Amino acid sequence: MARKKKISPFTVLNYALFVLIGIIMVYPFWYVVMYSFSDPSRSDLSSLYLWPEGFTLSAYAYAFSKKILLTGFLNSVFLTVVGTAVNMALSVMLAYPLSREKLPGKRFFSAFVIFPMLFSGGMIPTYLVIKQYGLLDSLWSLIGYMAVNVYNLLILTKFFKSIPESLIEAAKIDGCGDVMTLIQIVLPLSKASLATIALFYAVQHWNEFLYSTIYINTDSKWPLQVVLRNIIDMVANDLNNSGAVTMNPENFKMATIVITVIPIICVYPFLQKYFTKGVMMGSVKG
Amino acid sequence: MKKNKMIGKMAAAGMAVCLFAGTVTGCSSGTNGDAPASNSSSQAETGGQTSDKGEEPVHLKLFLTNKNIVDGSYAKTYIEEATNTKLEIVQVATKDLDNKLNMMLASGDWPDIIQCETETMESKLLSSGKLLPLNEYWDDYPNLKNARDEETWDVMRYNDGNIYAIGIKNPNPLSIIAYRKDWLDKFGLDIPTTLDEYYEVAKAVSKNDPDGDGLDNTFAFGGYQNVDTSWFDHIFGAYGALPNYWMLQDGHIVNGSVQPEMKEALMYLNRMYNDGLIDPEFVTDDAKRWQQKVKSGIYGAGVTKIHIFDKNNWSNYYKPFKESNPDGELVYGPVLQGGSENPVGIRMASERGWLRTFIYKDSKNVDACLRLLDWLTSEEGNRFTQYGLEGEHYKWEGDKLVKLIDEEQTNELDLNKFFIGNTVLFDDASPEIFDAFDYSHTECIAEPTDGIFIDELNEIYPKLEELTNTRYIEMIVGEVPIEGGFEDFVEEWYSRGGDKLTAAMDEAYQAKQK
Amino acid sequence: MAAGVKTVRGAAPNRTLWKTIKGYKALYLLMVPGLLYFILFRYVPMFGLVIAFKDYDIFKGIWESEWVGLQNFRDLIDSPDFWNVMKNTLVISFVKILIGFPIPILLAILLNEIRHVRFKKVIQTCIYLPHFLSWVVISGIMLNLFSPVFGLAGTFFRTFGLEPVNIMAQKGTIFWVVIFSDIWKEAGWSTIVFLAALTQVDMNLYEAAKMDGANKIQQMIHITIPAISSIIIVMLILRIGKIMNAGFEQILVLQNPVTRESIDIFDTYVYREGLQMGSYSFAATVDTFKSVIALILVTSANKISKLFGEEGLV
Repeated sequence: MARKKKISPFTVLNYALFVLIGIIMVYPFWYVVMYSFSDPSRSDLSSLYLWPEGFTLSAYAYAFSKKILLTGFLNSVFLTVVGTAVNMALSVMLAYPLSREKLPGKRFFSAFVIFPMLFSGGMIPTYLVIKQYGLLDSLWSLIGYMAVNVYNLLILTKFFKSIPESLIEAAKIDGCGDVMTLIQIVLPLSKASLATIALFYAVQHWNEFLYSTIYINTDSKWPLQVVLRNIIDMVANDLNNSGAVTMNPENFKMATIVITVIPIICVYPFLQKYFTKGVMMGSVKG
Repeated sequence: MKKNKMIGKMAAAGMAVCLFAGTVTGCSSGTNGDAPASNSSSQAETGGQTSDKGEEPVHLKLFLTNKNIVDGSYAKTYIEEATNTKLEIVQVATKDLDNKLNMMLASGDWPDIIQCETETMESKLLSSGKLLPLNEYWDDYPNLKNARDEETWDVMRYNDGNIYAIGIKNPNPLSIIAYRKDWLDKFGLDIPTTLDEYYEVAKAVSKNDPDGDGLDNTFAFGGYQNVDTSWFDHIFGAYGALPNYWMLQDGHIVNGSVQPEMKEALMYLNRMYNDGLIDPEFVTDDAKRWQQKVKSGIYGAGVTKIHIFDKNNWSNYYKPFKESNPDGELVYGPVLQGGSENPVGIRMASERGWLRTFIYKDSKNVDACLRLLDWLTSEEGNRFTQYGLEGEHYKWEGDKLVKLIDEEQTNELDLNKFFIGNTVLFDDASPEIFDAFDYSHTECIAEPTDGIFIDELNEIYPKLEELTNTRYIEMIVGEVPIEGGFEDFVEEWYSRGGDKLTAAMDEAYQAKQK
Repeated sequence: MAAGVKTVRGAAPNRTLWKTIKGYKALYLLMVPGLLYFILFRYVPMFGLVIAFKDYDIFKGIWESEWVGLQNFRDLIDSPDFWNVMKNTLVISFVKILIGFPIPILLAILLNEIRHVRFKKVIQTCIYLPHFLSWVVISGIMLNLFSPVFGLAGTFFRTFGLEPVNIMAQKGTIFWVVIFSDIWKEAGWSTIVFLAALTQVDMNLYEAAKMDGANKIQQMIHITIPAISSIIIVMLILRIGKIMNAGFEQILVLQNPVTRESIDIFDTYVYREGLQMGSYSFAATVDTFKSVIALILVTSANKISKLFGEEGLV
């Protein structure tokens, strides 16, 4: 264990590789941020936006002058927090039984949840059904419709399966019921996978846009993505002639992207702490 | 856990609904057939009686392209008071307009007033039999009737003789053949009148470094991707036809895409492309990047947006252009000669106007809908929605209107947002734009089939337009040789339904002439 | 599992089965809300699949619209674009899997080797950022970079005395633009699930391997990859399930008149010729067709993985 630290060529290469990859992959977002601070009148076709061209906060000022932005933000937060909570509850409650090999009827239930991954009713029938349920023009339509994602469910099932059977048997012998085993043994051991799935769900809710435009009519219920897209659409619409909107649509668009992306990327570092190694080992020993 | 119960309850309720109605499908689709129609028509009668000169504001549901109109804003409240209505506005970004409307209509949820952008949707609505024929009511609504001249209403007339829609009236066309006058002067060239002269000008503005920065970064023109290939209209037109455009030839309707003259035009364009006179990024550029290029002044000779001539900065073209090119000056030129005996000018947009507005026939409040449209198309309403009130938001200086509030305040008050069958006013524009409008109007060609809606047009034409656009651009950039390639294209165009469509269009045209 | 079932079948079927099921009562109850979700929001709308067999008119409603049998499917297969679209969809998806699928696994394993916690976190955050940008934005950036006149690509070509070309507007290059821009945007994000899987690897195995003198590469091949293989298989099968979706948003923004036919896929095709034209029947037909193909592929992939002794999807 206590080997002397020796920096191997592998390590050096590995670090260098990730510095390079990091730069390549951070560039698009960097570009967006720099563009958003740039002065529209100095827009230069050959700029790579390594730095802002000029500097102005006018795009942000314009965005924040819209009262509807705050409403949209709060709607998105509600949708993401409540939606993810529902997602996690339902997914865990489905994934755990599906991960139990001996559950009678497991094959049937698996097929039952996998089939909708491949076949769906389509946009209009789903709309009609959501309308029947009385969920139209309510954020609950989105929470309901997206309550379980089959991909995330199957990944979670797989993660649950990788927990050693012996631990679960041991809990049973100690007199734990299935639900207690799930809460006391399985969930604490699955922090990394739960964090991953929660992140997937949260991002999905935060970025959701298509169904929000279809299901939600009232502007005060729009999530942030719809609010911003509609402001962009309005600013950018060239056909709307005499509307002499002097805000440059591109600068404004970049600013709106920064505004939408920042909150959700702030979530990741909080989840990162669950991605620590050896969780499993510690508990097996304990 | 609470949330789960909630979902459970929701689920249970939903299940109950299913069982109750037999199947969900039964209730959802069954109702959007006949049930709501009969329902609302019975309500329409009672609604009609109460809302006549009613005290209670009439609730109207409007389906509009998104302008971020806020409930309770100054302009909205003013309009509601003026028309005794309460407007519920479903606002949708232009791109999602059709999709959202399809969902609403499929579920039987008809707005009272509907706005649509695409001809596909328009055609669908027109043939649905659920729209209100405006012409049957408009003797009571003179402003609406007088909002357009006889000629425009004729174009709006559907094949059953009724008029169902009113569009937003814009000047037409919004494009013009323009040259950089400062560059022409620099090289001692005149505004070209023939294709040969044009080639010289195009060469000079792209190859002689007119902006003097030592880089090969100026071009005659560029373009952005839309299927009508209108950026080449000055060349195609010089050869006597316009692709993706219906034209009259010996009294019959033909499509410009497959006219033999186009082959020569393509060769001319291909030569321009190979000589580096056309911005090679026209294939990939989107509208925004193209605009950015126009505003930064890298184009010197080609079709461009007329907006740039307005010194009062209509749509924000002139100001940025002048900022990047303090000496920049634009001038427009005529249709080019030397290609065809009968050259034509650039294409016009449909006279029906942008974003057509319809009223739902079975709306409970047909008269309130008409009242609203009538007020909006009146001189008072039209000016108010765009500029506000005289003395408060604008004043007159001679025949020119001067705004007293800035753009931000205009936005805050929701002025300049209610575009529903309006006529776009240019009371605050500079004289140059009016000259440009007049000039472009004399130099353009109208589509003889404007206003004709037939099923084939909806089903076949978009695919053919796409095909034309694809093949033409492939030939211009040299991915496909023009020799042989053009003949193959013509054959493909006809075999993919072009023959059937042309015949049907001609028939519909002849019928309309009678 | 097999053992359990056998006992049940062996003796007095009904009573024993009932007893077994009763033993799992808690697990079944746990599943109820989730299954209800599937019924209400996924299965009930499936009645809409009949649209594929009808000439759907939104004004008539689903039931009132005319039945056309398999006509929509015949129209699809007879369409002059069908085989081109089919080929493009499969080829683009296949190459995306071939190149794009292993890269996140490799990245995750290599990232896992980094001991400097702060560096690792920063890199992780950086590499998943492009996922949050829409394809419209990414393509805008690419237009800027690859512009032969104004962009980095133009400068690059001119420096080497070459004629600048627009790689986003050439039939020959657009395919690779599609493949690599997809990796650029999504590879970082896709590492997350593998990173999570790696946290469950037993550290003692590495210590033991080190004792045996295994180097880093050998450790990766013999310990790391087998340890996360079940997740890799699941991800692969899920990815295969999406094979008929070759990247709608991406292709849509990268298509232009010159490249349209070279990268046209089912989703862009149905968007143009179905949804944009309000033909929902056509869209449903294509969807159903895609789903059937996907079902066949997923089932086969699942079977194959089981043949190789892996667990498969569930």
